[in-house]
Amino acid sequence: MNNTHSKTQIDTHSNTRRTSEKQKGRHQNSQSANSPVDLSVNIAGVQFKNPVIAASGTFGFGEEYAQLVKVDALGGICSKGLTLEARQGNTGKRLHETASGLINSIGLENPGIETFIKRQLKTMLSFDTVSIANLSGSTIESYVEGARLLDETEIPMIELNISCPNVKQGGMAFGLDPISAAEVTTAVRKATRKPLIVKLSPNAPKLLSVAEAVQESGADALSLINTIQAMAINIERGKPVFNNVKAGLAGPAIKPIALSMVWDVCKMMQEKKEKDRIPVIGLGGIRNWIDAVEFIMAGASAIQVGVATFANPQAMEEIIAGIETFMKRKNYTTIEDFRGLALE
Amino acid sequence: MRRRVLQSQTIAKVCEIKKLQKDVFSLKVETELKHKEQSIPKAGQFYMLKSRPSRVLLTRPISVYKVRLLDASGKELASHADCLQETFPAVQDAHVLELEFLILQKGEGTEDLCNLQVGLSIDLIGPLGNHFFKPSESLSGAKNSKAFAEREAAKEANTENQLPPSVAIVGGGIGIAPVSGFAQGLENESYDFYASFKSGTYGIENVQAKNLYITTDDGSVGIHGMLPAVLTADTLKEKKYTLLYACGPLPMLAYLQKICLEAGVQAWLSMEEKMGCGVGACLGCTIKTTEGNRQCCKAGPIFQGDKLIF
Repeated sequence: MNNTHSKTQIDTHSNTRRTSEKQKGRHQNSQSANSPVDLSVNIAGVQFKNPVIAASGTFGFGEEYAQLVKVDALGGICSKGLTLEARQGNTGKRLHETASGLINSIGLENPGIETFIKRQLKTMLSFDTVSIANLSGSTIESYVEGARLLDETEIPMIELNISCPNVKQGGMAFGLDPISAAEVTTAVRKATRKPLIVKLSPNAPKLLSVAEAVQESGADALSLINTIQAMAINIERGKPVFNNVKAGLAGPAIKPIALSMVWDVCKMMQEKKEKDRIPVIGLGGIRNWIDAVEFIMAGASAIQVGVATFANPQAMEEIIAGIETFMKRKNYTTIEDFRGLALE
Repeated sequence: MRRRVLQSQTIAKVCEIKKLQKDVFSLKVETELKHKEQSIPKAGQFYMLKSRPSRVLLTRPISVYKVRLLDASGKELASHADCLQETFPAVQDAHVLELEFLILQKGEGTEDLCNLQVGLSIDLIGPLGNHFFKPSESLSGAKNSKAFAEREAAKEANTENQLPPSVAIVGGGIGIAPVSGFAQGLENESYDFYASFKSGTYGIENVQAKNLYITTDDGSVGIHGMLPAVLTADTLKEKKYTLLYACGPLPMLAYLQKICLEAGVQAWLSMEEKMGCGVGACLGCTIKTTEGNRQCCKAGPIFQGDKLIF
């Protein structure tokens, strides 16, 4: 059983960025093209073997894809969005493909946190990758109770989902304004000592204020973006495709928007003193290594891959290989060597 | 930790494409079986397909119609019926798996698949989902069914002449593909086959049924009308069926559930839903059952009829 997830191994210096002087020095040394590259990243004290993480809701609990994907090769995997109580999810159509995109209205169907702990957690943790529990809820109390239950497990990290657009109660409602986002983050922060990523919604009118607010409330890292609110209409019936009318758009269609938002948040981080920065995980429509490198150059410490896995289960493995080849070609030895290049 | 490779993601080459009707095509592809553990699909399973290139993002779930195993030179090593036998041996060396799909052109994804030409290729993920069990196993597997109880009672009574299950297989429209493929792996004339189409027929040329009933909406072939014109609760009882397998449009499956319940016939119904991943991860194809939500792609596509909530 690998133990890299234990709390005692958390490295508090991990967020420090290397100075640009060091970077330049390394480049001038002009190491041989065969020099080993280090894809590992450290986010809020948790060590990832590479920066490629399966996004919540697109990878089940790992086991679902185990025959098609080398799960052990991934940096991390996020669980399906979990709530305290089991949820049946939304009725009616749940998926609608659009040009280069996929609108979904799953509605957080999940077995509930207790069942997850009993049934899926052990298998999820058996993979040689970082498991992240994605936590959602409908009230602050249910978020807190869920966080308490997860705190007692071996799960190394929690991603707080305040951005699901597909449930009427809670979810995205918490992520839309800085005050409620801060409230839920503060409450969950008190309920768990696990490293806490807060997943932001692109639908927030003031994204940067929300990012700032959750950081001040104790977030150890941010991930963005969740799906963009969208809809489709069935023209034969003259009715919206989804029973909830609005749903969430993901897939390559949203990548440039996601990149722009990640860049904005990372720019905001860059303007802070080094000790006041927290890492950003970028996601939204990433489908190949070039997309992934763009997000890292926009300042992301890691990236998540979602819908691309549906279309191509090998996508994440290809992205990892692609980043490695790119780094060799560019003589980068660590992800930090090119992270945030496009912010300067 | 090494896992058994059953499903795989491959690129398959188109070796034949035929237009069967205005909007129905048969697509035959070949893919190399690279791993010994790689599965040969069973009747009722499906693959996720996408043409290369394609205008669409996601792969489309398409049921296997027929399967064959060839050697490198294209010589048949195992026929469709051979491949469906339970005892079929594992793949020994690198062989070529030939898969045939029947595709209804519905939107851009299936249109791209139907416009493929020989020599072009597709993305292929699978085989996925559960499969049809042969009649003997289907009944023994359905422990709660009335038919099963009756058979058990007959056993208890030490009946010497155990009758084999009396089987009806029903296909509607493009749903003909998995059930026709399944039927072609069964003993000839060991079942009755019902096929319902809008107009004309396809996919039933090699079905060796004891009785073949065809309906068409326009009366172009067989009986003018829809399935209820040839199959009702009364006909199920009259013909003393004990087991029914079906795939077709949702209203047809709901109808079959109803008449099978009424006649006490065990039904195995293959369902269809829009799918994102095909492996149970995206929860896009959830369907309601008496046992709660189930993923059509993973728990299905084949469900025991009385467990489905239409």
